[in-house]
Amino acid sequence: MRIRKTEGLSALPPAVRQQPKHARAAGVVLDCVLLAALLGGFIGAVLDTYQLTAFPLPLYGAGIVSAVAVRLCLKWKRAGLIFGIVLCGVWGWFLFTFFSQITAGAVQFLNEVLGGLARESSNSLQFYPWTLPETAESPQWLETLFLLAVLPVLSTLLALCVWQKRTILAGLLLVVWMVPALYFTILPPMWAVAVVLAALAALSAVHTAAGRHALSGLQAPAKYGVFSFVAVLLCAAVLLFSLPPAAYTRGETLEHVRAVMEGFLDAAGPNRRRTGLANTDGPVNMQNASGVSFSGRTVLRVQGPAGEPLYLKSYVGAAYEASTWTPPDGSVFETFLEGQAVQDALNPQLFPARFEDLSDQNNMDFAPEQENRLETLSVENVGANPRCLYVPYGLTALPENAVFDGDARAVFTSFFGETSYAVPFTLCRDDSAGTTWMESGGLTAEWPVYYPSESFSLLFRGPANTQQIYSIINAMGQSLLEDGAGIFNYSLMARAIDEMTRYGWMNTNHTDEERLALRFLSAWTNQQQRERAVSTFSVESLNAYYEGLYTAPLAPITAEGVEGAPLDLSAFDAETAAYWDYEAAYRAAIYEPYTQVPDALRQVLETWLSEQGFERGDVYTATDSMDTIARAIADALAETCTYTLSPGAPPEGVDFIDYFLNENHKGYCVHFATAETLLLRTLGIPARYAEGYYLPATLLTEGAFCDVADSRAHAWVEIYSPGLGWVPFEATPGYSAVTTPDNVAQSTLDDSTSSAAASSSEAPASSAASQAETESAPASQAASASSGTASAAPAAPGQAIPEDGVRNVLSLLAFFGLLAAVVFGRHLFVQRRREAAFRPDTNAAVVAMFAYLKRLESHGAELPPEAVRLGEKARFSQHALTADECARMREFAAGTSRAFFARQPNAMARFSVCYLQNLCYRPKRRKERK
Amino acid sequence: MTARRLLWGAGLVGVLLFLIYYTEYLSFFVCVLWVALPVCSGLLFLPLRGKVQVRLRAKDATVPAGETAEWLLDFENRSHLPAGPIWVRWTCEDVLTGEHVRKKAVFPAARGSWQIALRVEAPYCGRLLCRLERVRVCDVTGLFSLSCRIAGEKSADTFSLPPLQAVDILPPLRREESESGEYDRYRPGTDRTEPFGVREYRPGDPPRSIHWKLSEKRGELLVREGSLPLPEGPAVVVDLCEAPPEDLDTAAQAALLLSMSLVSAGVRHRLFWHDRTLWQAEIENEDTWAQAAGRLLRTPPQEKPLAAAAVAAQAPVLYVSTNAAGAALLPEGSTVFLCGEGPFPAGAGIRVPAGSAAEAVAAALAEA
Repeated sequence: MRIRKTEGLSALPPAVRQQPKHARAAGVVLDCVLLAALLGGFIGAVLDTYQLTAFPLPLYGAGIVSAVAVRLCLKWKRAGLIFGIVLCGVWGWFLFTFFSQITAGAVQFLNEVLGGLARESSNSLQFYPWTLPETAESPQWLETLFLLAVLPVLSTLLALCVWQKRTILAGLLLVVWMVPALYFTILPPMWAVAVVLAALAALSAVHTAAGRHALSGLQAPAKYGVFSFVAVLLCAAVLLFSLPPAAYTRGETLEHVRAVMEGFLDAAGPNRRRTGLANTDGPVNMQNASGVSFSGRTVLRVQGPAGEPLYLKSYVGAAYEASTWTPPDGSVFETFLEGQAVQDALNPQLFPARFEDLSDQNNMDFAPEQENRLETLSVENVGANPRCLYVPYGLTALPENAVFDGDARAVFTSFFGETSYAVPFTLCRDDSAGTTWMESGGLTAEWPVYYPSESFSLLFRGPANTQQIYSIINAMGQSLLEDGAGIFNYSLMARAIDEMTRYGWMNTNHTDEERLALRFLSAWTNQQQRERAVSTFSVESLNAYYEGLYTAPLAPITAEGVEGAPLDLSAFDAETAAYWDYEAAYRAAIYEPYTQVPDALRQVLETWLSEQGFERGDVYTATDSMDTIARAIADALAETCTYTLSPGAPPEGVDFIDYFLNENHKGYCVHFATAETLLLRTLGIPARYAEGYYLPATLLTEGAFCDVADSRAHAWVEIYSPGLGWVPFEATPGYSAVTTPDNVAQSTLDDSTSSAAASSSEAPASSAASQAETESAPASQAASASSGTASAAPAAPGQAIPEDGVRNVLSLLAFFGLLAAVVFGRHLFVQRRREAAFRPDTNAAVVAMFAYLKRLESHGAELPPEAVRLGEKARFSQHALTADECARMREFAAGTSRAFFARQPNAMARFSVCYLQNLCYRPKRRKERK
Repeated sequence: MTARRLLWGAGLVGVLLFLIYYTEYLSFFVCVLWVALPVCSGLLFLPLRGKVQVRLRAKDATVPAGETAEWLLDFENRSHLPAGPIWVRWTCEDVLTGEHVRKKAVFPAARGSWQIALRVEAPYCGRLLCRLERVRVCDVTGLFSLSCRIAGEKSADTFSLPPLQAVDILPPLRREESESGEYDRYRPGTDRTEPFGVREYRPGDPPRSIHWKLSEKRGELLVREGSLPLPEGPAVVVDLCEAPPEDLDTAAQAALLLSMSLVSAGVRHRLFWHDRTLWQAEIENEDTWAQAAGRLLRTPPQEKPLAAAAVAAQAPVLYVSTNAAGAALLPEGSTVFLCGEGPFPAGAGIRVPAGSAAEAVAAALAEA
């Protein structure tokens, strides 16, 4: 038989015929309590998270009062409408009266919020505060007035959500304001989070209890919401107590999962533009360098020469002002080029390769087979800023679709950048050994910083020149061979020239060739003498000294002992001479811009140099080259400052370097690089700030792509090496070319140590790695962004959630579970016993009570004989017992139970019979069921 | 509840992603709370077992067709612990027409006692059977549920009665009564073949009615009373085959109307219907009519028409059906009422359009 469903029979909505007994007003009271909790927690969270200086009490009061008022308006219907209109009027009057102050307060609010975010953003967010309009009120009051104007809107929306029991909407309304802070890993206070979550849970519980198809007029008891609120707060308190935030350490498994998922997303999705260290293409505000952390995710994949350390540069900071590095705008280089008549002039970024090429051409006879190693670096950008072009030093040519951006860096012609490119370059060569710098035992990826005479001699040290000069000197009867090995000794030749000049041998008849050679030697000697002419180590004298060194052209000493006209080197080697003259002109052009230090900082830097002994000649000698001096400064920084990834931001109004050198003494690569650059500039050595990625010698393997993690992001110094161009210099302690620990490992250096890690040549990676195992910085102290930037909390190796915390949580749960089991178990037993005693079947009820009495008897209670008789009658008789007999049996059971309980000797025994053995029986008079 | 579970599951996925990607304590805190709260809620929910009880009963035994029928749910919650909503899945079926509705209702679980009415609008007559299929109470999160105890029966019924106004029965129906072979149980008659009883002699009683043997024993004159033979009366045959509900309603209404009219006219008759077997009821008065009406209204429509020839009747047959097939073998002189829209062959019988049973029956009886 088919049953067809038709339209005839239709169900109507159910209707309430009898209301349960509960206070209707309790629902409104609960809503008000929840609103107070939501707004109180939210206001507390916002004030603490964004470090707002507004006065909290007026905000709490206004927010909660307005929300409660709106809720009451919704309840009172008509009266509420009138009241609501009045409230709107008051709010409108407030806006109108304090409009200018509110506007100023908005500016102050935005300054504080965005400034706080920028500070925590590790330079990925650049923000410069707006100027406040002038008002009579303090910024705190202005901000408070602004928030007082805005809060009623939020309160009204929240009240509507609570009234309608829209939990998700209420949650979104509150969470959306915290998203920017969470993005930069600025955590709200846990108490506020717990209160808000508890209130949302209570709202959800009331909404759930009411049901989606709730009937009008039938409400869930408000105490369900109170119960949920208290329960969530209790859970949160247990959790915060057993595992406080300070003790929390993220497990390795989670980090591994995160790395895998991010790798998958990066492989599957388009490249996301990165910001932060080594991914910047604009001004870098050092005030925001309060800390950095890394996730270990791969940002680059490179293939290059094995066993060679490399700096991959992407950013150069030329001018430092107000704690901000600014890239060169190209004006210096353009001005220089205008003065040059050379078409298609060589870009200074190609100087190192050109130098290596020319010196290789002119290398000494004993190593003719040594040629410069030309390499190619292939780069795949999988996670770094695709607009940044990462190139090594020794660049010979740019990749396709790239052009030079002035004399500082190279950029892609495409706005979106490129993700895959190849860069030809030459490795730094140790010309004295005829090998690469690394092969000759160099421990860093730095290039040498030569005196002009050194680079001069390397460039012009060709067999022809050497032999020519040698033969001239020899022909003059001066034997200059020291050891008979035929090694051309410059110092001896300098003495010979000196003597020849003193004794007027320049006046003898020489051929033009000889005269040219003598002028060459004279100019070179003059340069050397100039390079060793520092008389005092005062900053002024050093500045004058280096200025002469960098800018003065090569000029020989005449027979009269004065400096003659600059030397024309084209007679020796036109190509090399052209390069030398071009480079010398560039060197002179950039000297002044790249030795500039802000006036406000100069005194600070000079004082620091003086304190470190740089004016007493203790630190270095007159014969030390610029890189030796730079190394001395770096060593002094390592001695006085500590490496850490979370040094904290300088206070407002204090310069970044001043704070680092004189107060905080803590920093990471950007701190050390900036300090080194400014200190070198103070002494008159041209230097500039650079960022990019550092690849240690052990990273690259031949013929295979290697992953470069975000932790390889680095900052270093570029020093101008006469003849060679801009070369890298490592200022951060602990870096070496052999095995460079990650920044993560570097961050584990104990902040309590008085000095930083050992110098770059002796930082064993194994000890730093093992130190990382045990001294990882707390993740909560590392300001990081969770996504979008190349930073996250460092993967703290090895340590998961402490066992103590888990044990505490389990113990508490077990305790409460046991307690609940005991209480509810007793409740269950007693209820069952009661139900059995009040069964409609009197015989069964009496039998159940008799069984209970027998159990009491087994524990020592005495049974009344009448109870025994009734029990047996109920069990064996075929007649039903009467209600009176059943009631009498209940009285016997209750009396026996009371007597048994009273006979217990102590509280423990009473507790045991009540809660553990569930023997006591206190039947209550049951209400008649309808 | 499924939606809640899906929502919680989606939230769990979100929280886990938050835990993976967000490295700070906040993600761990939120994750632990998200997992712990349902667990705690579930644990505190367990003692609720057996504490929530519901009882179903019909508000009225009968309702007029077209009115709203109500069944009352009496809830009782004896627990102090918080409980979530109560889910009730219930069905209501009109046995006569075969219609049914299936509904789900959600009520907040208050404390104490409260009453909810389940309402159904029944346009057609029949027996409305309301049944509780499932009653569950959820926890405050809506993720877990327990069965509620249903006290008493899980179903309750009420009758939806058609509007009936008796129609004057025409004389032919009254005159053509023949003996049915049955005798009146309450009144004596003249048929001495069927003794009715013995009484004292009254003057005027015929001498042959004296029961001499009993009179000798009793010492007084006693007479035998004969029984009053009952006339056969017409047979109202109701053949409810599968048809649209409005046709079945019309047929039932027409049959009950005919029967009621006969009762009003004092015409004793029999009512026939079939529910896999053939049933009949002797309709003598309003009480027997009401009993028969209740039994007729709870009869579901049959797949095959009644073999009307099985109705052995010498009296006129009033055949009410939604199908003309069963009328072919009716005895001569039968009156056929075809209820509904059809299609019916021409001349097969009196058409009774849906919703106009009273008018059609009255007109038919007037013509007859």
